[in-house]
Amino acid sequence: MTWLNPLAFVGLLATAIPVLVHLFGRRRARRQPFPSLRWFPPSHPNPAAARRPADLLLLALRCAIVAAAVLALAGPRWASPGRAAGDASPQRVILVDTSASLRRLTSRGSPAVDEARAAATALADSSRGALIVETARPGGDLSGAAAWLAPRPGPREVVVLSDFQLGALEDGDLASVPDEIGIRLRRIEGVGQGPGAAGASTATVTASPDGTEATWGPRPVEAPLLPRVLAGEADRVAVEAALAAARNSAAPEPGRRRVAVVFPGAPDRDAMLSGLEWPDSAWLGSLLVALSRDAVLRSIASGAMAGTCGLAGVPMAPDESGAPVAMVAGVRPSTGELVIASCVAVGTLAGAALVARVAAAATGATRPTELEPAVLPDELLRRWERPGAARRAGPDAAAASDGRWLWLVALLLLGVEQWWRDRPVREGGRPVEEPDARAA
Amino acid sequence: MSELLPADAVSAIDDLELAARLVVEGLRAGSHRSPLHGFSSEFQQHRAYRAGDDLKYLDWKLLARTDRLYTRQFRETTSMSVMLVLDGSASMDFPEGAASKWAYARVLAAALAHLVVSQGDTVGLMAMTAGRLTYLPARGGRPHLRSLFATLERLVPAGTWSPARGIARGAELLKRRGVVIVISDFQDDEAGTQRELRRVARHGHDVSMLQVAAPSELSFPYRGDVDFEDLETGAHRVLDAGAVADAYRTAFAGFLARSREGALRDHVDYALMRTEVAPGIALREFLIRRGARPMAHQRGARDAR
Repeated sequence: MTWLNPLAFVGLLATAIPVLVHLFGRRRARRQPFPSLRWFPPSHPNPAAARRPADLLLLALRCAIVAAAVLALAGPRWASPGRAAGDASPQRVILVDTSASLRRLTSRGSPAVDEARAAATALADSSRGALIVETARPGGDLSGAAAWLAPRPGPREVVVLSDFQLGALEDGDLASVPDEIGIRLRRIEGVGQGPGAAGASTATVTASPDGTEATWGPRPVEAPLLPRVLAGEADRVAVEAALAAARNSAAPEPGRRRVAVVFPGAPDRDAMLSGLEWPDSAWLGSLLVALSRDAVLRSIASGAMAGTCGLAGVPMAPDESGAPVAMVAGVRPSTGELVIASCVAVGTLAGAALVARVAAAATGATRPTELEPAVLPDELLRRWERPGAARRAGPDAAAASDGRWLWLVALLLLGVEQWWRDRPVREGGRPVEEPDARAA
Repeated sequence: MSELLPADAVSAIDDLELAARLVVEGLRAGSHRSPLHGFSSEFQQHRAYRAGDDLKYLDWKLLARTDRLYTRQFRETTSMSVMLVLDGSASMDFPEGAASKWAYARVLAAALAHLVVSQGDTVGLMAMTAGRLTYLPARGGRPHLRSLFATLERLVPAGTWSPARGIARGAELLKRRGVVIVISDFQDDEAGTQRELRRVARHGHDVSMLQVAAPSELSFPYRGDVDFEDLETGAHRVLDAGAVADAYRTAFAGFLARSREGALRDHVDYALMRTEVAPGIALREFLIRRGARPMAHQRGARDAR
């Protein structure tokens, strides 16, 4: 057992008060001359002798009441394995870096982001309280983590699980974390040169008269998911060029999604853009968000010629006048294919960029900046790390104390003392009734 | 002074003669005849009724038989000897101070003596204190009365009460049949007291029993742990007064009831004298009840039948 307020034990001196009252406050029987004692019942016991045990019991009760109150004020905390572990361990916010670079495989063959999630779960289990946040920008979320930890008592720390690419974390991000909150930076390393590289291999078996020979080699990279491009015959060359560009910047991803970009002049353009629906699908929302935030498309679209789309849908990448580069028209119900209607010609820079960025967004392609191989040095990470300080117990301390049970005990003892003091004096095992005031 | 003084006022008067006089004057103020009758147990003869004769001596039975008025005449009709037997044991000195049973009993005795002498009768005193008897023979006259008062003032309650010595001896010293008035709390030797009173009554004396009790003896107002000390034996008992109050009151009430019933059974006049009641009122009630009862000789004749 531990005590939150051990100074309160000084109050145990107050248990001497009932003892002093018992010793010095006892009433002596007053002397009363009386004509004759023959009218008193002969078998009544000496009340002083009979009361001595009851007096001692009352004294013990009163001392116990004072002691229970003092112990309650001292703030006891009963020991338990869970509590012991919780008391030593801090409150944590665990930021899991889910940026593209964490898709690299680790030396154990699993994606680094999965290892980071497993490590976050293990850290959360060992914490007194934890919050796991998956973010592609852990540096920017440090201030939010600090704000969550600030009001909580006890030791606190922010843990960042990342590969710590250059730019993932900066001094300015760490300045948003107060000094009393600890910072722990744990590197999750992925191996390989890029997303999707290595990790899968194939064997080529060659039979020969001398035996069987097997050679191992990496699994060939699959072709990226490119949208179906619909344009006029006259734009064939431009379309092939745009697809080639998209092929170079896209990366294979499981779960291929179907997207069609319809340029002006494509045969059956109107039929393609009619009868579309807007199903509630997560990939569709993610694709729209990705396209709307696509900086490359925006920068290219800002210099594009304003087109006259005149189509219904979700505008994408508006130029300076507000005219969009393309409109996301909807999903074809029969095929589940997303149809994007371009407002610019395929032969323009914006048209080519549209195809490439749609391919990247549809396949979850990695931005080039996220493939930065350089990482922050370990010495810098160690310099940034610091232990957390325990926050002084505030209003939660009372809840943390088990003194309320001792208050309950003190109240119960008080009730017993009151009942014992007021109970009628017994004579011969029977309670004595109130004497009749009438004279004989 | 015609008002009956309250008990505490009478008790506060140091001069016993004055206190007795005040009590008697208060008695007489409300009465047209002597409250203490002069009578004898000896019937002598009838004579014809004369105007002015006391109607209490009229023989009503003879009137009914003969239709004529006759007055009964007794030997020594105006001469009466009264012996006051006073309990001076330690139990009478309760509660302490001027309101004690002893002070009250002393005033009763003094008032009765004053009343008897003022009627021209004789009064004597037998008091028992500290085991010793103090005796004054039955005489009349003011000098004797003052001597009696002085004796009463000198006595200090102490020791125990012996009914065989006090009551019996007092009756023996009456030269002829008279009135024996015993003033006591009668808390000693209950059986012996009843026996002696009965014996004295059977010897032809007119016996009266004035039982003196203090209010706290009757109500027992004590609470908490009390160390009770027996005034006569010096014994101690520490008791929870609240716990024993009920039992005490029951026992004491039973004792008073036995005293009264025993007195009635033995044809002894009985009166409970509570010290919070003015002695004049207490004596008046006693004397009125006494006057209403049949004459002693008539009681004896009825008993003989």
